[in-house]
Amino acid sequence: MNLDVQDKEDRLFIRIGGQLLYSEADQFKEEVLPKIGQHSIVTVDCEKLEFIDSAGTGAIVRLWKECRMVGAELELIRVIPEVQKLLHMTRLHQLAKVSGIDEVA
Amino acid sequence: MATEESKTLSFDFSTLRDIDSCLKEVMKLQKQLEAERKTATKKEQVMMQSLQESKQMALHLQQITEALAKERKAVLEKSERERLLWKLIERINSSFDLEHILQSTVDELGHHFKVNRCGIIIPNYKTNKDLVREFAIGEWKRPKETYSQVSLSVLYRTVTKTLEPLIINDTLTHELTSGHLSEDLRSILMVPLLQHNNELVGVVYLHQCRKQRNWSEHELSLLQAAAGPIATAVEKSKLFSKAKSWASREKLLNRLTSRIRGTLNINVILERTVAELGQALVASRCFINIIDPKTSREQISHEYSATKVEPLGVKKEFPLIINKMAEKNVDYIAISDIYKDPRIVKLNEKEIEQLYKTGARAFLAVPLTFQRKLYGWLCFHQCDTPRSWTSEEINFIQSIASQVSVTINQAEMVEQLTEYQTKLSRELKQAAQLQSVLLSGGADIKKNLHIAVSYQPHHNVSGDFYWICELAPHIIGILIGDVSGKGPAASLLTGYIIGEMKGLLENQRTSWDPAAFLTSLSDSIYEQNQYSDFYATAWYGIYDIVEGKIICSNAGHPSPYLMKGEVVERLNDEPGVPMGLLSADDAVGGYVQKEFYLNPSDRMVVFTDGFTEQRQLNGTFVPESWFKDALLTHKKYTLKDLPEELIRRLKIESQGAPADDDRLIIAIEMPECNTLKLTNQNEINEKVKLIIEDAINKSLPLALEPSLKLGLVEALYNSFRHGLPNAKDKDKNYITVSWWINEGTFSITIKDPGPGFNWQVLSKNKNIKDVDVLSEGGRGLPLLFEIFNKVVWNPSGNAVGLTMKW
Repeated sequence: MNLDVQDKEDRLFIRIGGQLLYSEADQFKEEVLPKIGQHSIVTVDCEKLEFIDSAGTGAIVRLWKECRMVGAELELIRVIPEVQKLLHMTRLHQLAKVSGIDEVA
Repeated sequence: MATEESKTLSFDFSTLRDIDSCLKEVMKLQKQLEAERKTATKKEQVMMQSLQESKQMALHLQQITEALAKERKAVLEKSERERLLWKLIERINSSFDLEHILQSTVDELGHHFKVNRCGIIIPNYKTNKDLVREFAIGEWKRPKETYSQVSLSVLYRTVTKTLEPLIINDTLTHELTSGHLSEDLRSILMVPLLQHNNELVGVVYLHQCRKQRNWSEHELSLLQAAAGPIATAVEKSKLFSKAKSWASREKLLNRLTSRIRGTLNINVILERTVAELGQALVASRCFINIIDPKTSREQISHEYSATKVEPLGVKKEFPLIINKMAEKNVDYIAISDIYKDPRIVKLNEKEIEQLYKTGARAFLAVPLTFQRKLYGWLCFHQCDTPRSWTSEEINFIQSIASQVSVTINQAEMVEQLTEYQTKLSRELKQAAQLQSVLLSGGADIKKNLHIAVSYQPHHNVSGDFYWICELAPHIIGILIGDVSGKGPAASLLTGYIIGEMKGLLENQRTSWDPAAFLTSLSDSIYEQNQYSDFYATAWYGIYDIVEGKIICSNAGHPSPYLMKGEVVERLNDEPGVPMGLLSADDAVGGYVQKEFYLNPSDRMVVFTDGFTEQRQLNGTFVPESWFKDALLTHKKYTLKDLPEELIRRLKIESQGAPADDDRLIIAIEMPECNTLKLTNQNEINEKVKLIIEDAINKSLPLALEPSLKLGLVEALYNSFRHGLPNAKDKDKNYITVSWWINEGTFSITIKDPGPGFNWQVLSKNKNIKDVDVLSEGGRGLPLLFEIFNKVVWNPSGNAVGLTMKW
């Protein structure tokens, strides 16, 4: 898993690549969650995220909860169809704003 | 008559010598004369006596002569009568044709009595058409219409009333005829014809025309004597005609009875019945009035009507009417003349009008009953003329009615039976379809597990059954069995067994333990057997296709064959008692559980006794060895073709004889299986990639790749997280993955060395949508159920099997 977290004023921008699996889920949470501050929006760019499992979805849920605590909105952008499918299957699209590769967030 | 006779005495005067001598001589002469006179008197007396006797004799002779003459006359008369009687008797005996007998009799009598006319009248009170035959000579012949009316005459009525002869020597002076006769009929002799019981059957008469004739005693006696044989002839003829009619009715009854027995087509039977009855009884109409059991409405179902008689019409409602004139539950209703029947007052005006409208004068109706149920009436109409229905006719019609009732009852039963059969047939078809659906429960598994099945039921619904159940992706339960008997009952038990079997297969205590499985199933059938006497044989085996291991038990079923390379051998599985015969308490020792192994490409063939108990055309059984021989010669066939080829071979072995039983065969082949071991979770990505590549090479659609990957990752991480750290045996601290792909089905089994988990409880929440969206965990198992078509664990929960189909 590759992670790149950028703090851009009121927006936290996270770029994730590779796979977000059980083995990476803890790392994701450890690296991302502490950086959530007084942001109004947290954007996760999933263009390079190839695969995600149930543990990965659990990590996303955790991220959404942290966002809500600070009043930030979570959005997952440029999500590839395979990952989108799982996000829908697990109804994460009800928590975060999910958009595909060609969609405008 | 006495006659005087003179006699001269000779006297010799020479002897007169003196007076004395003269006196003496005179005295002597006197004495002589006296003697002579005495003799003469005596003679005269004798003569007189003789004369008297002669007179008496003459008288006697005269009497004898007279007696002889009388006797001769009597003999002659007797002889004449006997001759006449004999002639008449001969004529009577020579024919059964009454008209012919009567005609020849009147001819004979007419000639014999030398009369102008001689006739015989036999009245017919039933038809009012008297039988009259008349002999007449010359000008005295008269038209038939004239003498046919004789029975209406006063003379006829007098004789038939008194039963005494009527002797009219001169019609001009006789009180009955004086001034009444228009023709020159002068003398009449009429004698009643009486049967032996003095019953009148008719009269015979003689007519002397123009010239008066005094009828002698002899003539009267002769005609009376002749009346005897004539009456006998009439009686004989009537009996003959009755016997003929009885025989003809008996024949008709037999014909109708045999027709009733010979066909179930009620319409044909009843149509012919009314036609033949109508004709046989010379009735104007004959019809059957049927009562609808549901609505009680009555209508004509079949009708015969004579020529020129208008039919009432089939389906005419309530045609009987006269049943309202009779008491309830009568044996029959007979009306000789509706215009004279006092019971008509029981009908209202409309009904009377309807009755008159039929044009019938006489009616007869006999109820059609069977076992006290009234189906309708067998009815007869006699139009235009009255008719007295005889007891013979009524008895005969009652016999027919009884047969017709049986027919209607039969038809009703046939209708019910047909309805039942149609319903049963439909239900059997549905049952067969249902059974087929029930029995095809393992079809999907067969595809992936190298199993071929062929099932040819002997009946629509049959007693053979099988089930193939995926206990885990690599472990299947195979059940095959045969219920005793065939047909619906056996099928119902089969259905019951399938239901019970499904329950037992869902329970891992029994589904993973063949002996326990058969014991429980046997118990269940035994409980049902208190209502029946069925039993079933069965073989149940658990087949691990990764290890090639088969654990099995046998309840009286034919043992399977194993095909290992070039060798075909019978599995020694020690068959136990068929299921349902013994309770669990009685079955000492229960069923034996056997274990054996197959190598890749080895086959096992399980089957029912339809393959080993088949007869040839000549009735002998096909030797059981044929099956083993056929397996040896058919080993090159593909698994898929093997069952059908074996059935084809059996048909040849049985010389084309029809199947004696259901034929069910299951052939299993040990598949080639991929297995690998993982010791570190870092290997997951690599191994998953390997497995997916294999699946894609074996036609897994690319669209399913992410799902399969997700599923495999979830399952493998689960094993690494929960199984490996808790390994019971540290030497086996790895995860074993076995997978195989066949005909659009991917199957994998993932086994860890851990103690397993309580999947029965923890896997309850199978639906991903039921997982709280805010929950950070608990999605793993629901995802497996979401992705795979089937997710199963072994009883201990340390091996999971996943199946994905496309």
